[in-house]
Amino acid sequence: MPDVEVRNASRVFPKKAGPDRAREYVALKGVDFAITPGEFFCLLGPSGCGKSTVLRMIAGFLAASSGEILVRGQPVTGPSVDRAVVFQGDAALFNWLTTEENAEFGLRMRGVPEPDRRRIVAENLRLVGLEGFEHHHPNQLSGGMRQRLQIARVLANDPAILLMDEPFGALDAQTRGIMQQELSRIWSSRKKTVLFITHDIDESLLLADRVAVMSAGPGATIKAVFKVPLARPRETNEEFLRLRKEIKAAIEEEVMKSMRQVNHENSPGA
Amino acid sequence: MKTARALDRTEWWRRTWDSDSFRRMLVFATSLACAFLVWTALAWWVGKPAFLPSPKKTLEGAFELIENGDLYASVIVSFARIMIGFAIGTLIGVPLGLLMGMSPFVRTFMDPYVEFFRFIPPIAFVTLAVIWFGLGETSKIVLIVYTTVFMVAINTMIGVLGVDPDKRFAARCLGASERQVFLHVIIPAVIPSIAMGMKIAMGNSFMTVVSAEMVAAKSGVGFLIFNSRLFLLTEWIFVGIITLGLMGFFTDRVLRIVASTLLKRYEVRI
Repeated sequence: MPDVEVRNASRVFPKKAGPDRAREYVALKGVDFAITPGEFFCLLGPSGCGKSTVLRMIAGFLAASSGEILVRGQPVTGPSVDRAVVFQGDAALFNWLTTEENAEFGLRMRGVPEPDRRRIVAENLRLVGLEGFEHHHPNQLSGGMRQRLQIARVLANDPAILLMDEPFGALDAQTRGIMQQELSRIWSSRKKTVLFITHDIDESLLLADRVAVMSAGPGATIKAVFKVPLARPRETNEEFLRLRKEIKAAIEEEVMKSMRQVNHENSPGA
Repeated sequence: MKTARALDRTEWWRRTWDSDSFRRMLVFATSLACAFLVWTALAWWVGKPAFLPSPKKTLEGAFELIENGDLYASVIVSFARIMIGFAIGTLIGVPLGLLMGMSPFVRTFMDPYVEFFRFIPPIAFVTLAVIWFGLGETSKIVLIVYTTVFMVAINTMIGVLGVDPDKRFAARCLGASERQVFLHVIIPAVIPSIAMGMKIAMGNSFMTVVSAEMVAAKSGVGFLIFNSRLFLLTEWIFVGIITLGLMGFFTDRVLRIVASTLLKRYEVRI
């Protein structure tokens, strides 16, 4: 049984502005994929195609307008501790809590006793390389450290599935490279099922077992799924470059489509 | 030995002179000295103490008022009104604002009142308050409660609406119940907005109490200022005004110290 199964899911948003505000915006249409336990699955697509919407539906923050979303065979009805989310922005961190308290949050909410909490938090902060920063507040950490803290915070809760919404999107190139290696290492040691969202082809090829390319919206869907049969740790060898070329061709077509879309919408009399 | 000590002293002076806080104090003192000089010059030039009393005359007036106990009594009475009204107003305003922020029904229900009373300053209600609550303490306290509830509730509501949805989502998928999200995410995230509302409300309370005391009271700093006019004791009016300024200044300092110590982790900036 797959860990995550999205079956023919669509999502429709009411339009809030514009001359055709009575109409609805069909963001996703017939999205269909499954993630097997322990798999690192990447969702790749042009910006604005609805990648985050897919993640939010699996997380249970947003309901599908039609179709089914199953997690370990059960339909999703809301957020749950078995699906943890790492957000792109650091607004998801609790700025009034220290690093340690942030990492402890889930355990505290779930009533895990204090000595266990201390041990688990220390272990996970060590895993992501934040020891020594236990008593810092998020605004005293660098962008990369804040994303490490988000990862430690969800790992402390020991979820079966990690949902990562462009977690390194806001980081500078050097930090992003380091974080990708770190995530690969953490994933190898913890073997979680991961859904990772990105618009960076190289990032998806460095991390994922499979890469799903999404088409541009409206009515975005999964255009193609690529297997990445490369050994870890990954390097940019011939096979890597061949895959990149293939994926790039698939995604560029969609980027062009989405740009035409924007031009069309903005042109007068459209 | 002697030279070493002399060197130490020069070194101490140099450091003091270079320190930011010393520079700030120096500018602060210069600013006060300028005001004093301008005031003295103007008073001397006008030459009519009943029109513009000199600093010396004002100081004499202050000593008179301190000696006969009027100043002390006025300050206590006005402060008590402000503090009681401010405390009651905050105790009502915070829960009301949280409710308005959390419930779209309550928000919509309250909206016409908020938009209506927004344009009615508490001073407009002074006569009505006297008719309804008499000349005693109640009428003044009610007016301060009104202005405080308004400011604190609206700021609290805006704070709740401004909490990043990712914070709620993060808490939910870390295992927090809706109730826990409210207690452990919404409330701490809103504390800076509540503090800001309280700071504005404190300023409004001063204005309200003084205008109420001028129109309808037999005590308080506002009464002192207004009553001095009858005896053409302009220096007493000056004493009253300066006292008000000092009261506000010290109250603000106390609020700031509380914010920067007790509420430090909530990043309160007022």
